Amino acid sequence: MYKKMVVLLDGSELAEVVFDYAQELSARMDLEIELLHVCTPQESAQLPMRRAYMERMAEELCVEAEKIRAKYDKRGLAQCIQARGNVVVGYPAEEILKFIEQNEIDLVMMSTHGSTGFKAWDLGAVANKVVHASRVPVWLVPAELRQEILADAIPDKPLVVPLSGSKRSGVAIAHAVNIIKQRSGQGELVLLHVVETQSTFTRAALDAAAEQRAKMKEYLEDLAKPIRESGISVRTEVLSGEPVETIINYLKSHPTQLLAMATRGKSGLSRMIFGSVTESMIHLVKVTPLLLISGED
Amino acid sequence: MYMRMLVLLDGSEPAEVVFKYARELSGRLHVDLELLHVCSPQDAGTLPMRKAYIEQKAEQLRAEAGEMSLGFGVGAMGESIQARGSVVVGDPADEILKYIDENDIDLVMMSTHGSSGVKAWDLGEVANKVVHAVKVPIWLVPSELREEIIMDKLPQRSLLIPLSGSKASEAVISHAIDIVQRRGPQAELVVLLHVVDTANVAGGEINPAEVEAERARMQEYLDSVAQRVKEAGFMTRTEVLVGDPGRVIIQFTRDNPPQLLALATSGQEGPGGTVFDSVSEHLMHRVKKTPLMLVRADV
Repeated sequence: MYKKMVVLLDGSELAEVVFDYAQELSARMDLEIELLHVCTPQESAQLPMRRAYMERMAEELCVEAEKIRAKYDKRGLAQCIQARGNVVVGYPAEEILKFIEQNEIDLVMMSTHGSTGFKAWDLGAVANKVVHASRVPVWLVPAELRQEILADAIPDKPLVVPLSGSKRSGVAIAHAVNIIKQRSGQGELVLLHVVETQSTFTRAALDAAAEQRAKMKEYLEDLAKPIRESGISVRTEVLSGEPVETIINYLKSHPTQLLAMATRGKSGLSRMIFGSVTESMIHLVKVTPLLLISGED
Repeated sequence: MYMRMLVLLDGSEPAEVVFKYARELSGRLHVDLELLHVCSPQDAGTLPMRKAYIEQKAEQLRAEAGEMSLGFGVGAMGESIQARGSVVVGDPADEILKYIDENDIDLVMMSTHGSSGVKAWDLGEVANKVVHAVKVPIWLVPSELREEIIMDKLPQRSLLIPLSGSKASEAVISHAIDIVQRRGPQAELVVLLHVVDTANVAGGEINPAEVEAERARMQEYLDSVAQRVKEAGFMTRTEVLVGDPGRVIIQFTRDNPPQLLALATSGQEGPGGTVFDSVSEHLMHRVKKTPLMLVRADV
């Protein structure tokens, strides 16, 4: 169970998207929200403005989340969503990590880009640092978040977990399952593997690829079995091609609610390879939120 | 008669003092407020935050100033105080002046210092530019404004008006009286003050007989002005002091804290905008705990 999510708001347009999304999620998942604004020492002369902003956002979140929850919550008796606004002075990535440690945070939500502006193909410097150092999963909200995701309007509400076949990449499954459970079982889990195709199309290479596909299908099914038994619907997909491109195309043709990935895959040399897949995904996924898990749990 | 006061908020601590003071005053004077935040083009990435800040302040004002005005009996007719928040992007001084022109603003309130920090004895850069270019009266709020002034808790409510003796310097009187009247029926004292300048005498020679003659002449002048103020229904007091005008006036505000120091400024166009007389400049830069209303006598 996730209890407390910290949501980073830097005052930019993108932070408004993050805010709307956090509001929806807090209501659907009964999350307590800590809104955090980090102000650099150079900007600290405008602290009163920053505090007023956070106070306003926290109040709005409480009110709006209750309205959203009334839509979902049939019991209607549950306790109010708690939201607090916090302003700290310091360097963003450092302060965020410190805040996670000191406030029993178990989820981080932030925008892929911030007020420093949207540089194409580039993850915001702050998001990049946090993703790599955070002990808890980081929920990254892309600038062009799909409206259907905000409105919870994607049929089947799929959560996609790409798996490289390593133990490490499987870490993401547990988190995806937790999220589905916390949303009262809503959402289908999709376990996905991409078999890298070779450039040679000899008979032997094709046979090897087919064999690999069958092996990975079996592997995914083995992973799916206990999850299905716990009452969650799971689909397995084995695709072929260049991993990053294939996953991106899959997301385009299969609107996805969340893409959950471990930031490090296999050990050794291939760890670098999986790492680079994740890295590329972070930069290329523009409309789907990402849940990145890098902690050593 | 003031209808619309522009209140500048830059998000800093001094702006919080301005806000609190404006909220108290809007309730007492029953003026509508326009809150303005100017965001420099470099800061435009955080516009949503700036808008949220100004909106929050405007809402807070509408809620609290309305209540206060009912409490004071000014808004007994049931009219509520209007407060609107705006955010514009550009150079602060330029945008402030443009906003005043385009929105029929007749009174401006701003902090003497802003987010660039308080430098001792120095007027903030933006305030300085606005003060020298603006044609409507400007109400300057120092960052160390006395709490008793904000809460209207001074034992003797008074309005201090230094007069130089020129007709132009009297321009401030009608503005000051308008404010006193709007405050309601409570007794308020109008203090008319003149300082016989012995610090800037040509040649440096001070002739005591001349000083005495000047004192008597100015006392007579202040009495005649006071008579007009009394006829308008206010208690008045006149003071003729001797010394360096800027310093004497500051010392006087320390010994007899007024609620407002109202000053006529007459300017001459200089290379960097209007240049005020040295006493006005001195007071603008050095008054630390008293609000200062500057009224242009030459427009």
